[in-house]
Amino acid sequence: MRLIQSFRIAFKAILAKKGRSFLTMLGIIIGVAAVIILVSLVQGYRDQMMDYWAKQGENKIQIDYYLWGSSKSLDEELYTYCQSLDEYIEGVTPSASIWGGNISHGTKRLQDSQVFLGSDQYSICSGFVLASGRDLSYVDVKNANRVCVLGDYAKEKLFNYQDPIGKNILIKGERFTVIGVYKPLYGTDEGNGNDEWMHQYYDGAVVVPYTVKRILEPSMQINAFIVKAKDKESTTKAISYLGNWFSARISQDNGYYDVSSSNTYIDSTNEETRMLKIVLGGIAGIALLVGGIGIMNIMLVTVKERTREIGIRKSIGAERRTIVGQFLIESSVLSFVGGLIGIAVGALGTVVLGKVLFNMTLYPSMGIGLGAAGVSVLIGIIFGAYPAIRASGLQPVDALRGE
Amino acid sequence: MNLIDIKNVYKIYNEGLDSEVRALNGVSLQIDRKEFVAIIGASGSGKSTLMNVIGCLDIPTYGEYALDGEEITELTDRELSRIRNKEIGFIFQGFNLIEDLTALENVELPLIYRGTRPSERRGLAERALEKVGLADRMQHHPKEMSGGQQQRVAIARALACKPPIILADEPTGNLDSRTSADVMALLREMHSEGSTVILITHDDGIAASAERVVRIKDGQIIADSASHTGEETP
Repeated sequence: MRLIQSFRIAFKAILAKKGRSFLTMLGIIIGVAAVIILVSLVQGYRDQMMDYWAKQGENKIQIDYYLWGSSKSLDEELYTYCQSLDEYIEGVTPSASIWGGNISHGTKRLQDSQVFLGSDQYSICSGFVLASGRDLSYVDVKNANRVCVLGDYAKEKLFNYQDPIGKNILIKGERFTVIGVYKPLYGTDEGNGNDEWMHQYYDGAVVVPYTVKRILEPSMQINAFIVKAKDKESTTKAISYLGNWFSARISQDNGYYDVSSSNTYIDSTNEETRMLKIVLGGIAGIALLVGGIGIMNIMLVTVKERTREIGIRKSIGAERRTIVGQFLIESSVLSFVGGLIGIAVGALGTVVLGKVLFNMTLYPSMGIGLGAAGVSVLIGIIFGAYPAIRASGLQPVDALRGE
Repeated sequence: MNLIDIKNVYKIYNEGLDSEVRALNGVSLQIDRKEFVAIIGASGSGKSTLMNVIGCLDIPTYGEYALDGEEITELTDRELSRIRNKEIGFIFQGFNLIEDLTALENVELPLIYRGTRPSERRGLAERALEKVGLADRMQHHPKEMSGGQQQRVAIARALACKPPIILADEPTGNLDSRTSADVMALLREMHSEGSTVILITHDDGIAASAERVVRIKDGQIIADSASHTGEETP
């Protein structure tokens, strides 16, 4: 009963002071929304990057090497060495592509195509999954068979909805038989501009056994490889083994080599976004603090006015706890409503800004939002109830004087 | 037993310092039920302090004050609140209405604190406002009303609770002579309906409405038309 009365009085007071109530909430709204938006944008950016790296394949080691003025190739040796590392390594493939020009099937064309030279472990290393047909085999590579596996986009361009398996296509005038099709690596269903480009590039792949380069591009040297390691730990181990292997064969005098993994990029992306999050989170925290100080100011400025009001209420018989209850409820309701609006504005702002700025569908980080809302609600309650707690302890006559 | 029994009350500010002020310097005063008393004094005489003590808005530094047999200086905040709510109706010079509430809500407020049911409360508040002639101003805010109207809202607020004691501190101090006459008429009406009315004023003309006039100067009572000595009441 008494509580209902306190709520009734508090709501009356809030509605009666619309301007002041709104200003009080504004600080909380801006603070909470800023925290949510900034942190969510950074989080979204990070997730997007992680997604990219995940699709590029985690635990992938990239090897580049070159020997100055020598036609000697380390390829065979490297392969053999990689076989011996099978404790850590799942697959190895050359990482090289040649420009295929207009690849055609009948009247259909795949323009500006990239022909990727792969081993039988190409799909393992690239993250491709077979959709139909079969993958490149050891025999295909060994015998330099004129076969190819198509990416989803390449298949669509050359065969539309026909089954391409067993059909022939022309690559630089040479006939190749399609033996398989990969599932798309980048979906196009999200209508995401970035993914659209990735889809055309990666899923436009035409993969052939690397040994057929002697037909397509005889003068080309393959000096980049991708090694797929089993896990994070294996990646680290394999990198160090491969590094040692190269350092024994290549020095600064006769060439260069580079062995690195996407894990390094992932770690640095993680680190980078962690820093961004701290910095932007800090800025947003300052916004929240300023908002809190704003609330504090408004509450304290009105202490005088409110002290008189409390004096009046006491003189007509309000008990101390009734008054404190009223002000506590009043400031809690204001702060909660402000916090909720802040969360809503922050969530909406995250989605809208994510679309406008990054063309991404971002989701607000609710944990951070709730934390920010909690802090501001606490500030609101403490400084809202402060005048009441102080003034209600005065003799009514002193409170009436408004100090 | 007297309704109000004040014995040798002192209110001292900054006690013991050079700036010590004795707003009340040994006041004794007895007021009986259904009296209409005017306490008259110049500004700074201590009359407002006396009213604050009578109305339980302030606690005396020394002395005893029994209201309806209850010793005020020994009561808790809660008990004092109950007395202010049920026993006393205040009418202040500055009206002391809550600006953000309508006339009706202001009048309802003491009833809310008393715990009166909403339906009953509304009826009581409306009747009180009708009685002071503000039936058509119930939804107005204090700012939208003249001083006389605001004072009548304050009177309605005091009336609605039907308290045995009405304490009016310079109720006409901010009003012109015509509205002052209205306010005084309302006070006389409350008295005739059985309330004890205590009127604080500096104006002999206003004080003439009362049955009994108590003069206060420098924190002491210097004259009392009833010549009550506090020994006994007839």
